[in-house]
Amino acid sequence: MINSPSSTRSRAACVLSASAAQGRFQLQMCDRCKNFCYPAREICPDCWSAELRWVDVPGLGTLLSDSTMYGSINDYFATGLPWRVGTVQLDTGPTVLAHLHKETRVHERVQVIARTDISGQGVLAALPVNASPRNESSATPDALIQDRQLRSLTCDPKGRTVLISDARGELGSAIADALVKAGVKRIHGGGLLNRANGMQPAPLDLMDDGSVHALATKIGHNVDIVIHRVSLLQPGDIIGDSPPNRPDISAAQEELAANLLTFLRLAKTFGPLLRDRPNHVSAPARAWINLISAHALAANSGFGTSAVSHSAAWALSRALRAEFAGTGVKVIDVLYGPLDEDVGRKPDPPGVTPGRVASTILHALQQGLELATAGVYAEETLSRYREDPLAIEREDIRT
Amino acid sequence: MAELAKDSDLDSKEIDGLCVSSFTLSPDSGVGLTQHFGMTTRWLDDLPVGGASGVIALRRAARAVQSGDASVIACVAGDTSQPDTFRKLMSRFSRSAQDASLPYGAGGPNVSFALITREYMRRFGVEREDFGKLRLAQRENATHVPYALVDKPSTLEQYLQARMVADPVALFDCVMPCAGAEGFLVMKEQMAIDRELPFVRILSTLERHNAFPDDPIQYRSGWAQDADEFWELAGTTPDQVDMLQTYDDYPAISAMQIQNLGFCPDGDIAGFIRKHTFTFDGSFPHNTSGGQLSIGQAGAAGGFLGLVEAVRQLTGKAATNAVPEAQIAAVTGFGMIIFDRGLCSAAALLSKGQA
Repeated sequence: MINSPSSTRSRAACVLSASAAQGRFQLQMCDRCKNFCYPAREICPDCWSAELRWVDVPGLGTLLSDSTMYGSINDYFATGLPWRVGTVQLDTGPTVLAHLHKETRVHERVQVIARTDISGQGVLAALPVNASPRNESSATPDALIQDRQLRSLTCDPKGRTVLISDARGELGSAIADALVKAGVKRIHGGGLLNRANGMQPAPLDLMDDGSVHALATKIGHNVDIVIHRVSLLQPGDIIGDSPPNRPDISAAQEELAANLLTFLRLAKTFGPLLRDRPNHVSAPARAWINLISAHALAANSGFGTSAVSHSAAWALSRALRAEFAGTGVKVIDVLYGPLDEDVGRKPDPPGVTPGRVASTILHALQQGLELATAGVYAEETLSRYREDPLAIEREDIRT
Repeated sequence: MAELAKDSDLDSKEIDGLCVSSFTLSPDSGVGLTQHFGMTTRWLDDLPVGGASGVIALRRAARAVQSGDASVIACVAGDTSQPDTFRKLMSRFSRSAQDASLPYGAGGPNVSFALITREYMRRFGVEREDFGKLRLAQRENATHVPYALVDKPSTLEQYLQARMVADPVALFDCVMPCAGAEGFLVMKEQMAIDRELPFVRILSTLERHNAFPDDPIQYRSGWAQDADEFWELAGTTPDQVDMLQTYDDYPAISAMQIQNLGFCPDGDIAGFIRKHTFTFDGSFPHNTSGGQLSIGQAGAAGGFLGLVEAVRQLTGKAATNAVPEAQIAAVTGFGMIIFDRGLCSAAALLSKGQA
């Protein structure tokens, strides 16, 4: 028995899932007749054009009908009954079936949002909106985490046990502060020698199998959220004129060991423990967060093999997400711009503060996002990457 | 198939056309069945239209016989029902359900029909008591039917207090999946007369798929689009009809069929239900065999149930519940619920055949 909502989707519908993972609600719009359609199709049902484009939609609509289920052929929902769903007519045209927030009422206005559920695929949820048209575009930030039916779309850290693989430095402290504020139960701070910022010190040498296994044996069965930082980032070129602009092979090996192999070691050890924890329909999903430099997306960052190793870590993160699908664990990538503490950083663009990275992590957890950016550089780079990952190769985005 | 041959006293080799409707035939299809049955047919159809399959099978077979593509067509529908058949079927029922309703726990038709039912009740002022009246009449009819799965009468109180399945759909609004089969033969009238077989004539039919796609929530279907032509072709009017067999896998859908096909011209379905009685001996005989509610829903065979009952009634073969002096029967079908609506609608008007 797979204790998860249905993860089967048509190939076309996977785009909705991909945007839902970023907290975006997208529908197909016909480029010819401009009509929106749902569920996903191959051609426009109005004019038969095949030019259907996925575009972000506001998600405002009216709840036409609702029903409370007292039975479900799906084991996952069968453990969470009663469960309320409804038909929403979107202002953009189509009607959709959506999970309903408890405060939604038939014939009232709702805000439909898209998120991934623990199957790893996208679903729609309808939230109440303020009756005033001015305010109707945004639902309250904690509308998801406070709702029994919608909480599982998030990874709300309240009451959870967290492992921060490298909790040292300002960044570790900032993340811990944010988590404590959000009501976390316990934080194991990897690499710490003493209690700090509400964290318990956890002996962890990510370069050493024995150390990782020992910690996993000790705390692994309780961990709900892993926060892993892919940290080593050093400037350089691959064919630069001379050192230090051309780090040698051993430097690249060190980077790969630090950025890829440590992550792999942690994933292989803590991953199965995280995966095998039980799911509950009204509990938040568990989470594996990777902090990755936005340089992973760019070819011409000025960080040479270092950026390559971040890129490899990002690829590993995506593979991990695919393996965690349907198990109740969301893999969250937080792409960050240059940190103030990064070596060799130029003054532009402005560096990202540890507090900003921490609040981005918390936002992603509470909103159930699988991809988030910290800082304008990361945001801009991701936006360009989305438009065309090949075009970004041609840009000089050295920082 | 054997029953059809036996009842009609036809040699099985005389049946040269086959129309099949089944959800559980996979990995076979209709063509595989020809070999299974040892038939050598010159006409074959395999209908994926669920609850509309009876009427649509009749319609297509009649055209084929009329144009000489086949002489005798066996229209059959049947499904098996094992412990997990229903769940498996619902898990791969349609792409639309897979993408847009199954992920919400709303696999199967209960939730989709609950959402439609709620809006239908609001729009037309129908109360649960009204649906209860339709359901109780069916249960009453079934008390005389030897092959009904549920043959005990029910009370309005039991109907109203039944446990909710998907609000406002409660237990006695739903039908029970079961195993079973239904079938009938289609041939030219003269052949039936020559063989001295009891028969019915087709006065009119309609078939419509994905009617009113722009209705945000379904409150009508193809019958509403095609009713005028349907009655005009038949040269008759709703008040001349002696009985109606609707596809009854939720009372709101039965009500929609009564309303859309023009039996209550002012559209006041609530008033119509309150005014009439629906048992076989009532003022508006409806689902005289007890319908799927009592007999069970044998997959696609559920889409044949009403048609076969109408044929039995008009040929004097109804086991019980014969509607006195019945001359004309209307049959409707409704099939293939996707994430938010049923797609297939069909209707047939049949008259008693006279040699």
